[in-house]
Parts: sequence; structure tokens; C-alpha cells
Amino acid sequence: MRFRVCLSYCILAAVIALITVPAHATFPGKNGRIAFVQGPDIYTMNQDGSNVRQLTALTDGGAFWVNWSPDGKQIVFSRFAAPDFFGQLWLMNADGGNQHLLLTDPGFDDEAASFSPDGSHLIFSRCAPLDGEFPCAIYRVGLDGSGISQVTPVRIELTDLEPVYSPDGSTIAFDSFGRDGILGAVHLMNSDGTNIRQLTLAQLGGYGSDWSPDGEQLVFTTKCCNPELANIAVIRRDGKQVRQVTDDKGVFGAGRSSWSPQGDAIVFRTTNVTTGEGGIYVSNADGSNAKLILKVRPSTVPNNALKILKKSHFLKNKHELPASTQIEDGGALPRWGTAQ
Amino acid sequence: MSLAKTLVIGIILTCASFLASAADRGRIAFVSDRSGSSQIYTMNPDGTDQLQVTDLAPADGAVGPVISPDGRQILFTKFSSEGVDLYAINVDGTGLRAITEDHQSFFGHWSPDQAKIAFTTASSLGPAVIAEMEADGSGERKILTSDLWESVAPLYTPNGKQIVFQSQMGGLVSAVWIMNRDGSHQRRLTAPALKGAASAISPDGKHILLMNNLNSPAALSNENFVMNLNGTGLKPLAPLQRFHHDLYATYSPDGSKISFVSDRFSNDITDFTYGTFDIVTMDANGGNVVNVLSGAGLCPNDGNCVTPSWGPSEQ
Repeated sequence: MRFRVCLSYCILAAVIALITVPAHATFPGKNGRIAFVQGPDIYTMNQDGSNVRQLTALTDGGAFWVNWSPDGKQIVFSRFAAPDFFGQLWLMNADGGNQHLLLTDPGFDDEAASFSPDGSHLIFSRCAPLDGEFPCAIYRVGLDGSGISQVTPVRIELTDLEPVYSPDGSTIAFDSFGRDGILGAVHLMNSDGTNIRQLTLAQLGGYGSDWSPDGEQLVFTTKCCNPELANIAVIRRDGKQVRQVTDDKGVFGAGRSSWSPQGDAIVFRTTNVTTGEGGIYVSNADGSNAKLILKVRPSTVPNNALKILKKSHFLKNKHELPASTQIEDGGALPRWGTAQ
Repeated sequence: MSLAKTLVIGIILTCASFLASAADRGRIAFVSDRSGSSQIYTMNPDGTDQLQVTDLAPADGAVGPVISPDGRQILFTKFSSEGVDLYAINVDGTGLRAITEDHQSFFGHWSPDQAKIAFTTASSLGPAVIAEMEADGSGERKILTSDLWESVAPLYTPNGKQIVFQSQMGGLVSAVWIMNRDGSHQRRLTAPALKGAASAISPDGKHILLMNNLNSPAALSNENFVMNLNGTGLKPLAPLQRFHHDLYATYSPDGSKISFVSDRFSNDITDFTYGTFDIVTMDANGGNVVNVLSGAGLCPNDGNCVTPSWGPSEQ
């Protein structure tokens, strides 16, 4: 009989921050519609929150991780369905038409895909059970599901998530959890998987990066300092000059963010952790003039992505999660594209 | 009685006392699941004279025993469906008592004068923090670490002036930290990639025993290391070439020996699992690794093993 005790680092680690994470690359272009997830489905809206359109109507499981193609004509997403709720990569047109399964490999959980700048292929995070763990590594695949290849190696202690190409295609930003003894940080690597280097400092707890359209900066979410709260920050691609663009004011847990295609604005999700109310906000790129454009309701759709995130943050025991996390479970994941 | 006779008897008594003292190598407390639940036992350092100390309900269990400086009591963490609490018990198995009743306090350590206990407890924000309280659990608790990051498993230095602990401060998976007893002057002693956690401080206060790859899958080996109290001079304690897990090293009361748990002798170990854990002793300066207790228990996925504590015999 084994000791089934969970103590040290984890007994009460159950309540350490659960970080929820985005994946996206904003490519240059005219500011168009914003895609987001609410409940089990994907929607788009104008940049002022008007003209909300529902693109999917899933009755089995739900969708997560949306991302636009550079030309704004397609959206990639992960679909989750019973019995295992492993993610499958799906593509659809910007109006929700032509929804089709891109890749299905039983036993693999495919998450957080995004497009290459030339629109020819996707990079994504592939996770699979391995001896009681659930490591995730970065892969790429053609838009027709062919030519799958590995970018980062599978290591049992690592969770590599949310790869996003720089607009020039030379570099990939991604979240890595557990790498080099660091809980989580945004990392960069060359597009061939070489030269992996840490971009954000360990104490920032950075994740969920998105390149500015000019490729000079990345916006990311920082879970620094308070397990319930989070802020949006911007960092230069050389790792210098981090600046915070949202203020948690002691109550806000920021979720995912995305740069506008023109580079002049940022869309992000934030939630008041005391009231549980959350919404999608648009602000100037420096964080000024933030406006609520759409209230979003939470969801209870089973989502394997969240299990992975819990794992990657050493949440070995189920415990009460911060309100922001409960809301973030529902998604939002706003993504700014060029589709008009 | 003649003076000569008195002297002779005195010498004999002195010698006997000296011999008894030399033979007193202390006792090792450990947890074993041999009865089907996790109970605390003690034994001589050579594995003889094993005594079961706790008789907790089968659904409950004990981890992390620590023998008191006077050798008379054992502090441990009791887990049950309600949560975790610190308990103390006399080494003869009598006098079981709760030190905490909040169901969220664990991994305690006696201060050298036995008046206080440093321990781990949940903060209102969530992450576990290091705190100090009276040894009987009464009075106010003094919180010593930030509630923004997880910090666990405090160890007093032998002079009682500092506390060594394990923390995720700064966004790390695990590192060894040291601070003054009042919580001031906190500094990290180990590099992030080591994923270190301290398990003991030498009786002379000069060295820390620690292990690597904390909060990591079983597919990574664990090794024990020794370093100076300031974090310099890190070196492996009992290196082994093949895949294994060595954990929870602790010093004998005189500092000459070290005990730890290991599945290095286990034949049910694979490259992805913990094997059966044995309690091992070795010389503090390396070498002479002896398996004194085979099959003490198994190790769960989070790395909580049979956690030996080597204390003095009851005074």
C-alpha cells in the first residue's frame, strides 16, 4: 500500500495561483473583429463590442484557444469532447463556416494552436499522459494536417504551452512551466526550436504572450505577487523595459490579452475577484483609456486545457480556486484579428 | 568502605557510564506503512529494537516525525479527512496530543530549547507560510514569510538564531532559503535549477543537508547533497550512477552519521516510479552506506517518504 499523502509543497499548495493562459500572435493589418470564447462556443465582435456573432454551436463539450489566420479569413481552435476531453485542432472560416477537424491523433491532447506569419502552418502544444504526468511540448503541422513535426522535446517535468510566432517568423514565444526550476515564464526560441531562452523574470510569473505587430514588444499576463490577481504587462523582445499596463487595484485578475493589428490598442479580459464580474476591455497600448466593451459570463464546460494548467502549477489537490480563475475557466481569450 | 574500594567502584561506574554513553547512538524515528496505515516507529540506528509509537486510526496517518531535543517526545504531522495538524507524542507512545487544531498546519520543528515550534500553515491568501508558536500550540502565531509564495518545512539552526526553509519565493519550483528567526534577512541559498529543499542542519550548525528535484515527477532522480550554511560548497552526499531517489537526510545527534531514505536498493523501481524505500545510514563524511531497515515504506508521487528523524535517546 502506498502512502497517499499529499503534504509539503502541495498539501496547501492547492491554493497557490492557478494561471490561465492564452496563445495568440497578432499580425499587422487593419484592426478588425475580435474573437473570443464564452461558454462552450466561439464568437466574434466588432472592436467596440457591437455586432456579436456566434460562430460555433457545440452540443458536445466545448471550444477553447481561438486564433486568427494572418489574413483574417480563418480561425483555429481546440475542441474538447467526452470521454477524455483531449483537445483536437479544428479550423473554420471567419464566419464560422466550413468547420472541420484538422488533426486527430488518439491519445494526444492538442492545445493552443496559432498560425505562422505566412499562413502555411500552425504551431501548437501537444500534451500526452506519460507515467502519471502530463507533459506538453511544442509541435508544428500543415493546415491540411500533414507534416507534423516536433519543435521542443518532450520532458516529463515540462509544460510548454501557447507558442506564437513573431511577425517576421524568426522567433517563437511560448510559456514554459517547470523549465530550469522556474514555475513559469515566457520564453523565446528560434523558429527551429534552438536557442531557448527565458524572456520574463521568474518572479513575474509571466505567461500568455502576444507579439506587437511590429515584433518589437510582447504583451503578457503577470501573476506576480498575489495569487488571486494578475496584470497585463509589456516587455521588449530583448527582455528589457517591462512596464505594467493594467492596475489590479487589489481586486482585478487580468486574463488574456492581445495586441490590435494596427499596434495601437490592446484587448484583454479582466475580472473583479470580489464580485466575480468580468468582461473584455480595450485600452490604448500603454493601458490608458481602458473601456469595457463586453461583459462575459463564465462557463463550466469541461476543458482539458485547464487540467494541464493546474498540473503545470503544481496544483495537485483540488481546492477552492480564486474567483478570477473560475471566471477564466469560461474563456474569453480575446483575439484581435483583421477580419472586418 | 575503604578509600581504595570506593575509588575502584567509582572508576568502574565511570567506565560503565562512559561505555553506556558511547553505546547510546540515539534513536531513529520514522514512518512506515507496514501496518497498512502510516504510523511512527522508532529504532536503534542499526535497525534493532523497533517500537511502534503511534496507533492512529487506519484512515489517518502520520508523516514527518521529529524527535525533541531532549529525546522524550516526537512532533509529527497527522493527516486525516479533516486536513493536517501537528501532534506530539511521548516516545513511549503515551501522551498523544494535538498542538494545532486548524486542520491546515504541518511540518513542524522544535526550537533547540524546545520552547517553540516553527511550522508550516496555510495563509488567508492561500500559499503556505512559515510561522512560529509556543511548543504547546498556545498563544499567538507569528507569521515569518510572505503569503504570496509557498514556503514550507522550517528547520531551526542549532543556536536557534536562524531558520532554514523551502520556498517558491521569486517564482521558483523549489529552493532552500535562510532567514533570521524573526523572519528578517531572507535570502536564497540554492540555484533555481537544483529545485532544492533542506532536510537537516548539522549539530555544529555549519552544514545543511538538502535534496534536489523537489516538486518534480518521479521520473527524475532525487539525490541528497550537503552544503555550507551560507549555500557554498554544494556537493552530493552519496552519489549513485543509476536511477534512484535518495531523500530526507538527517544527522545523528553527534553529527558523525547521516540517515536518509532511499529506493536505491529496491528491485521494484523503474525509470519512472518510486521503489520501496529503505532507511539507510552512512558516515557524515561519505561512504559506509548501510541499509538498516529494508522496506520501510513506499513513496507517494509528491515525494513524501518515510522521513527519518535521528534524535538522542530519552534522557
